[in-house]
Formats: sequence, C-alpha cells, structure tokens
Amino acid sequence: MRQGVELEAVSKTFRGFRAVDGVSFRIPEGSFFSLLGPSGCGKSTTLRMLSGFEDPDSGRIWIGDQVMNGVPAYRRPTNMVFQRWALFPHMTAYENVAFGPSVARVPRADRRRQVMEALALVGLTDFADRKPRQLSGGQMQRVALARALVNKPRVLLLDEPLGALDLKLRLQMQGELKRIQESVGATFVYVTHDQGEALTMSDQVAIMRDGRIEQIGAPHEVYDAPATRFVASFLGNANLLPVTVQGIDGQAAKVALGGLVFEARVGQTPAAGTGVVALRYEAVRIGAAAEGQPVRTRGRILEASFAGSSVHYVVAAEPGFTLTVEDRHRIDEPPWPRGTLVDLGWHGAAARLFPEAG
Amino acid sequence: MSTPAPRTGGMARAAAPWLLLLPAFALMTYAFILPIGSFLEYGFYRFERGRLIQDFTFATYRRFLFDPYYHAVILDTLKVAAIVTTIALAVGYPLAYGLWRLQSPALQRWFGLIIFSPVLVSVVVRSYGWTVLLADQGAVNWALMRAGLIGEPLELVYNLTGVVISLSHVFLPFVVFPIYAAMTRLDPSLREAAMDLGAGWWTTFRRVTLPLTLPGIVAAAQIAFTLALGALVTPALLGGGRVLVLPLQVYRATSEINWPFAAVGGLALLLMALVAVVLSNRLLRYAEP
Repeated sequence: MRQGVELEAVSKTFRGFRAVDGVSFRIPEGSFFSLLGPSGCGKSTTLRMLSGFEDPDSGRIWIGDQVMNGVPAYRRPTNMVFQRWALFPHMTAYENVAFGPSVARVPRADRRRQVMEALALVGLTDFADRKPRQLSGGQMQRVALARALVNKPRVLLLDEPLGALDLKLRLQMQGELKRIQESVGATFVYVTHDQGEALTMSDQVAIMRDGRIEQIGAPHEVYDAPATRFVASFLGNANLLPVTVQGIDGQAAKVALGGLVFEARVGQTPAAGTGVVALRYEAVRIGAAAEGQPVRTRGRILEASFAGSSVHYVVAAEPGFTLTVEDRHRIDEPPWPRGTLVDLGWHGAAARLFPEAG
Repeated sequence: MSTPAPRTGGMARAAAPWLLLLPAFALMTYAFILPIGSFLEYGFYRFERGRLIQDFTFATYRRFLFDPYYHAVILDTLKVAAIVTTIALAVGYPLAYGLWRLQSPALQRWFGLIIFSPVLVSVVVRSYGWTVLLADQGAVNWALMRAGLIGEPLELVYNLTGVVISLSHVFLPFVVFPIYAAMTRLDPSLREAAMDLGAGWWTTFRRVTLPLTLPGIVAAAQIAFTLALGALVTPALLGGGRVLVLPLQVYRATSEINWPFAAVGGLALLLMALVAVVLSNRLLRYAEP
C-alpha cells in the first residue's frame, strides 16, 4: 500500500526546453515538503504536474496508491493555493470558499458549516461577505488557503503563496501555515525560491536546479551538509575558495588554500587535483573567538559592513586568499575598522570540498 | 521635492486636459448639440401639402405618438435591433471564445482579420452580395435544397430575414472584439483555480468565465443595438419595402422635405439609443466585481 506522494523519473519538456528532467522523490503522508530553487528550475512545473494542469511526458506520479497521470485537475485529491491567489473577483470570500463544496454538491447546511469552519481556521469569519478587492493581501492569502482546505485535500499544493506579501506578514504567515498544516494533517507541497520560508516550515526540502533535484533532506541536513556545490552556495552565504587537493581519505580531504593546509569534509569528490571549498560566512570565527579553532590563520580587514544583528567583514587572509566572515554583533562593541589585523579560525568540518565546476 | 511647484505651473497642468478636450468639444457643439437644437425647433413646425409652415404645434409629435402606423414602425425598429443584437451575440460569443482559446498568436491574428473583414466592404456592395446569396436561386437556397433539407426555396431576402442576416454579419466584429478583450483581461489562473476546485469545463464557464466576461457582453450588445437602430442602407436594399424601420421613414421624410417629421423621427431614434446606453450602463454596474 503506497502512501504520500511519489514521483518516478518524471520529465516534462516545453518546446524543446526540458523544464523537469527525470525527477524522482517521495513525500511522506502528512508532511510539509518544499521544492526550493531559483526561477526556471522546474519547481513550479513539478507542482503543476501534481495538480494536473500539466501532464508529464514520461515517468509516473502517484498520490496514495493511485497513478495520477492523465487524471484531470478536477478529479485529483489535490488543491492549490495560487501564486497571486486567483480568487474569483466577482464572489465574496464566503462564495469563494464555498465554490469547491458547491461543485461537489455538498448539501446546503453542511456546506455552510464547512465554509465557516474553513474561514475560522484562517481567522476570517468576520470578512465572509467581503469581495476580494475589499481585502488586504494577507486576507486574500487566507481566503485562498481556506478555499483550498475546505475541500479536505489529501495534498495541498502551494505555489509561492507568500511571495506578494511584505516581510512582516510573510514571517507571520509562515508560522500560521505550519500550525494549519499540523492541525489539518494534509500533505503540504510548497514551492518557493525563498530559502528562509523553505527552511522554517518544512519537514523536508528538495533543492532543484535546471529541472533536476540537487538534494533532498531535512532543513538542517541540507544546510549543514550540502551535497553539491550549487546547494552549498544557494543556501545561506558561503565563501567558495579554490584549493588544491593533496589527498582524500574517505570523508576527509587534505586541501591547500594558498599556504594554508587543512582538513575539510568531502561534499563531492573533485575529479582533478583541484576543487573549491565552501565555507559559510558564519562558520568563520574572528578575533578572540578564533582561538581554539582547529584551523587558524590571520588576516587584515578590507571592508566592514554593519547589518544590525551581525557584522560582515571582508578579510584578506595572510596565506593569500580573501574571504567573507559573518560575526555576531555584541552590544557596545563597534565593528573593527578597516585595516585591523585579526585572528581567523574555523572547524575543518565546516569546510566542504566540491569540484570546481557545477 | 524641497520647493513647492510654482503656482503657474500647477495651473497650466490643471488646464492641459481641458485644452486637449477643446477641439472635440467644439466639434461636438457644432456638429451635434447645435443640430439637436434645430431638430427641436423643426419638430414644432408643420408640414402641409408639400410645404413647410413655421408654426408652433405639437401636431407632428402627436401623430408620431398616437398613430398606430408609427407604433408599428417603432416596434419594428426595436425588434430588428433586438433580433440582430441577439444573433450577433449568439454567434459572436462562441467566436470570441474560440479566438481566445486558440494557442497560436499567428492564427489569432488571421482569424481576427477575417472577423473584421465585413467592415472593410462597402455597405452597398455587401448588401447586393447578400441579395445574390440569399435569392430564391441563390447559393444558400441551392445548397439547402441539394442537401434535401427543404423542398421549396426559403424567402431569405426582401424581408426581415435578409435584413437581420446582413446586419448580424456586419456587426459581428463590433460584438466579437469587446468580448474577446474582456476574455484576454481574465487572469488565466482563475480558470485553473475553478478546475482545481473540482469544476469541469461547463461549470467553470458558467460560474467563472461567463460572469467575468459580462462587461464585454454588455458593451458588445450596446454597440450592436445602437448601430442596428440607425441602420438605413441595409434595410432599404434587403428589406424589399417590407421592413419599415424608423431610419427609412426619416430618410423618406427628408427627401420629401418633411423636416418636422424627420426631426421628430431623428429625436425618437436618439432617445431609443440613449435608453439602450443608460440601461446597459446600469447592467455594467451589476456585472462589475
């Protein structure tokens, strides 16, 4: 008995452009799953194949124990929250939410109860009689969510639903989406290019690029242990430093960065004797904090930019390379001025080796 | 914006739209508002034994309002306009829908041109073309008889049928394009949203596409109806003297120099068109989201 959602070698080509290229993955029933990637990576097409708006050229899509290929959108156990919400402008919030139940011929009394429940779930009971143009962006977003959830979909598909909201509202809706997902228990498939959203809400994140899946894992896994150079640079901020590889022993690699030789983790084994090491800005310690770190060096501060909770330093390290460091800002400690000579240090496990290209 | 804009600049900016409107306004005054004034004046004159008498009398209005012959004329005029509008909408809406759903922009352009083509042909040529097509021995009757659908040729021309067919044909572009424009303004994700919520093609059409294209339909109906009210050449050439619409009566009156009747008939046409416009604007307000 199959559970959840499963894609088997799914491909989709539009006029010679391979939007999705042999993608396979499994989403456990009732989990929050994100497809994350830059625009044009195929995440939206993947979602549209789940919803039934597009049919794959090859491969199979399963929802539960049923193959979805060829099943039209209106017969799938999925509902979608659209990018710009796609609320029916001529209907009130109530009528928008009641659309699904009325098409499904739910008896009138049940329908009213279901719609009011769905509106209550998103906190919009008082706005039932408003037309979309009388609602704010956040409220329209909630109506769209209620309109999808009222049908009790097995899988809820969300296509960058928070993209059009301002930052504060986006953060608030992230928490609320997670709460709603846990209370209704449906599988949520969430498409976004915003890594903050994906990392905050998801049980699992799939990072896509050029129609393929680069890596799937829990948010902390993909962040801490990126499988490819792309994932390492796409998630968070990382220095990509060219190194020569002196030797590889299982997961550990001996690399030389200018004159500095240290041990790094292997992300992906490079073919030749050279590669790049990905080192997150925040993994580098600076000043007194560098003391006791396994890898140590020194450098001169070229630039310092203050960003409130943190300070970014661009540092010319003495062994002959430049790197960016993110340091936590502590109260009453002004950033170091340009030209200061500082200690630098990091843990070898924080540096991951990848091939130069790709 | 540290300094406020100088006062004169502000005034010039406020005056600019009025200056731009001035030529149109002047033209309207000269070619529309003043003539309506003289219409009103002539309407009160009398016409007796081929002579115009400058009088002040309601005789022409009275005759127009109470003579059963003119009731029939007004009713006929409204009937022709209503039938033409209905047929043009019934043909035009599916046409607009088809044009909208076409995947290829090149095909869309070509079909658009074909739909527009009736307007490119002179009304006289078009009307004679239809008399040839619709005649007893014409192509339409011939085809229907060959197909065995009818035994005798249908009377398709020199009556109401011919007028309605020709007018519906020529007004088609005026109906298709407003509706098509309303359709292209639709957010494509609305139809997807409806289907996602379980609606098949028909439910999606009935509950989403149709209500949201209603403004286009109302605009189209308004154009077709007012154009049909004023049609003269087509009823004259294809009506065979049996379609006595008001513009024909006005035309005949002017050729007899019966200015009072022509003025009253013209005002009546204007009034009917105005009522149609007001009614459809009312409808539009309901149709708006």
